[in-house]
Amino acid sequence: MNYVLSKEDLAPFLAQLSKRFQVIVPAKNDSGIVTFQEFSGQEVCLETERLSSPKKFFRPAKEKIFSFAKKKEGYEVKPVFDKTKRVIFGIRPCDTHALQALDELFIRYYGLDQFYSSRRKNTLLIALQCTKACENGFCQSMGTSQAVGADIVFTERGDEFFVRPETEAGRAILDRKLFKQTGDAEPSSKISCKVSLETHNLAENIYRGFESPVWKQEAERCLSCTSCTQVCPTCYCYTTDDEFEFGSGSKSSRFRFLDSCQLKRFTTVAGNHMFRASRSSRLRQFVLHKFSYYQENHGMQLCVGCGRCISVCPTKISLVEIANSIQKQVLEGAK
Amino acid sequence: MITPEKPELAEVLEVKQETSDTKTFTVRFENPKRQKKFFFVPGKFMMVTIFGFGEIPLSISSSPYKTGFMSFTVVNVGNVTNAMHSLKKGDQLGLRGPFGNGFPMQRFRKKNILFVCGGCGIAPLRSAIYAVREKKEEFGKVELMFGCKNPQSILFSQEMDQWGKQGISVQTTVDKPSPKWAGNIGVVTSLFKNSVLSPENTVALLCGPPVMIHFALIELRKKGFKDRQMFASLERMMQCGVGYCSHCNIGNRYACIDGPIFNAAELKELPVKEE
Amino acid sequence: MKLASKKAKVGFFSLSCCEGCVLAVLDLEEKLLQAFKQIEIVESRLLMEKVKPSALRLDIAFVEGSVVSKHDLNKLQYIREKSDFLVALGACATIAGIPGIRNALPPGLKEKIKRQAIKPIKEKVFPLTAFVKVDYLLQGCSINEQEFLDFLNKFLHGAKPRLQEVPVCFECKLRENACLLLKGEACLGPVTYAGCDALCPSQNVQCIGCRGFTNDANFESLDALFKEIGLSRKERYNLFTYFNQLPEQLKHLKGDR
Repeated sequence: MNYVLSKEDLAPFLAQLSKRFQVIVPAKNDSGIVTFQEFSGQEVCLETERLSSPKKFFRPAKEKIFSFAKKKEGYEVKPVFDKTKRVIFGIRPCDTHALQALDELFIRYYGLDQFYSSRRKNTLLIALQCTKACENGFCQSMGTSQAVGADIVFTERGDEFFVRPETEAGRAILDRKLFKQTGDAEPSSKISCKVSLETHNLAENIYRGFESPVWKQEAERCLSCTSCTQVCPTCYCYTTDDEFEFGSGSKSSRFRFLDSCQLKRFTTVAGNHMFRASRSSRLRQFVLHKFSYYQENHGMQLCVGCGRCISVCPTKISLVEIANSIQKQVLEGAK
Repeated sequence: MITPEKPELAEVLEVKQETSDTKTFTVRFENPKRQKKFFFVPGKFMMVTIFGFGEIPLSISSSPYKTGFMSFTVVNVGNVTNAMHSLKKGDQLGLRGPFGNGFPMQRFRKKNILFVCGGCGIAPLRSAIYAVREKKEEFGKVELMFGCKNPQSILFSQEMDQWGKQGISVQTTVDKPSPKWAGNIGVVTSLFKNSVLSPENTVALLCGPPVMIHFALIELRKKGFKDRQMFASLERMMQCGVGYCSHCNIGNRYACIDGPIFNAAELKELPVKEE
Repeated sequence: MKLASKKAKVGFFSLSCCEGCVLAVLDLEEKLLQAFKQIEIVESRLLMEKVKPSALRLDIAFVEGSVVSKHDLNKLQYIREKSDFLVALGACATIAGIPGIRNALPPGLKEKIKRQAIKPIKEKVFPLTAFVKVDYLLQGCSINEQEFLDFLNKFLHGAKPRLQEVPVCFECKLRENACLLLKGEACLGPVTYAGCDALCPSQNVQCIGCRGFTNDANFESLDALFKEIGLSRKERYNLFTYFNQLPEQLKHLKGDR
């Protein structure tokens, strides 16, 4: 059964939820950017344009993963899990696909990243379908324009939301006083993106362009500012480091820090040898990891077409343009 | 449930000063059951935690046939290795692993083996040398070619004398000789002309700085080695050992789970030299 | 590790500067008092009631300020000799900072300042690294207090602190700020070391590079972007030389003056 919720009732619904959950909503921050933040009555922003993703609740910039304490009988090693019960409202389809891609690596692939999976398990997702294309998104090309794996899917329809619960957990948090049952068909959430990427044989073709001059040309503009990797909902690369607690003799913790492949230090080993010293090789790593390597290893794209990296680049480098022009080159060369 | 990132406690059994900046640490898991079940293939590595300082990947340098302990040979170069160097007998550290693929030792049976290493690159090869020595009858002739900065930085020189007596041909060369040095001078590839092993039935195992591996492969190819006969252990930045952190990503492969040992044919397919 | 048993002997020294960085250390208040359990301040003009130059050997010397005179240089060399670990504190000490603006002035003006200055003045303004081995840099104008504490904590535990080597944009994006460059404002974030938690851009103020240029800065590209935004050659020259010395790649900005 599906429901409708009047837009006026959204705030009361979220307020209700925040009694039991940490409720995360998209809202404008001081600098005018729509970010995901804890709900405390602020105006929920339904704009499609969004520079920040809910990645920080799954792969935070700094995450404590172990605490080490020196006891008489030796060190005590305790993992630290985030078990906060969370509801994220307004996650867009592209970001739900991003979580699917991260699940593949951290839950299904090699072992189990329990730090990630604990966050995943304790979070309910209320997706909000897009009814309007955003500036640089190309989710249509990537096949990520419809929400997946969410607990509830909201679609805007005039001054109300059409609500489709997807899971038991999702159904359980719908308040029957606010949500009215409906037999209507789901409103269309088909959009037409302004940007499009050629995805036929993408992984293979773009890897064949490994030596293409395009990388170097584009990298001349690249500031290596890491903005692209920071806003990317799937960029997960991290570094770990230990820190002593201030003033304590021997208590310390291990942290995971979000890192960026655009930094020189990312591949630096002892003796100051860098495996990707040049800007172009780092830019290429970013694009190929998204479009080629992940596809080959996991059978899915690591890029979900949100277009944030394009929106945020100060020098307007576009991975879609790079990918399209390299593919074109490769295919023309093959003729 | 196992957390792949969780370090298990281990104890330092012995610390041996090898050279001015290098020590060999012999350690074992505190949990006897864990140590008993622990086995590895030469070339595999462990993630070693010095609590409060961090975690680094270290190749195991001891024999895979010696159960009950494992060794790491460590140069004091960074924050974690510096802290590790201050460890003494009885101190605790954390271990995870073993990780990586290791050398496919069973495929080397009945073959001659040429070990080529530079500096502390000898650590993982030492483990393989012990494995070969243990089952001498299963392998052909063995040569070790070892390049170092200077005579003072030659690791395991006493052990090498022993290996020599046990039929392994050991040759060392240094870049910068001391006045007393009577041995070879030059890069490790300058020793290749002395090899008596015929390339057809020989495998080469390499470990050392990227430049050394690059030129050694070129020279070995000239001698007639085929790509599938040459196995190099690659050094990469690593933070997790399980393919999560992506620091060791080379093309679509990861040095921590697909490597660190790659044969030269695989290396050709990978963008190893990206610059 | 080796220091844990006894208190580390610490000195704070100022060369030519505003003493703002040591003031920033004072701003730590309670946390500084907590640190005093592990450190003993042996010499500091600002932190001690009576300063008596101490002949004691120092475990750490924090030195702020630039070298602008022979006097500064002598003092610096003396500090280096008696210290095991020398930390350059703040923009003046690490990149010549504000005093270093003199290096970027047109020749006539430079001469005028030289004539009015306390003699003997050096031809140029230098960071500490120009003369002595510096073991660690704490960047910024003024320094970031948390970073100072983190450094001290690591040092006291015997850990080697390491430079983060990320640009300001890295931290700015984590704080989810709107990009100033995209708004058409000239910001040095992409070429400047972070560690400040993107303090200025978070207040909607452009980064002016007080933490020094990164070892991976793409000056040409950023300069081209500034030009596109509409900055004149002189404006760009002034921005790039505000705290930093003009990078080799941007020599063309000097013009004929």
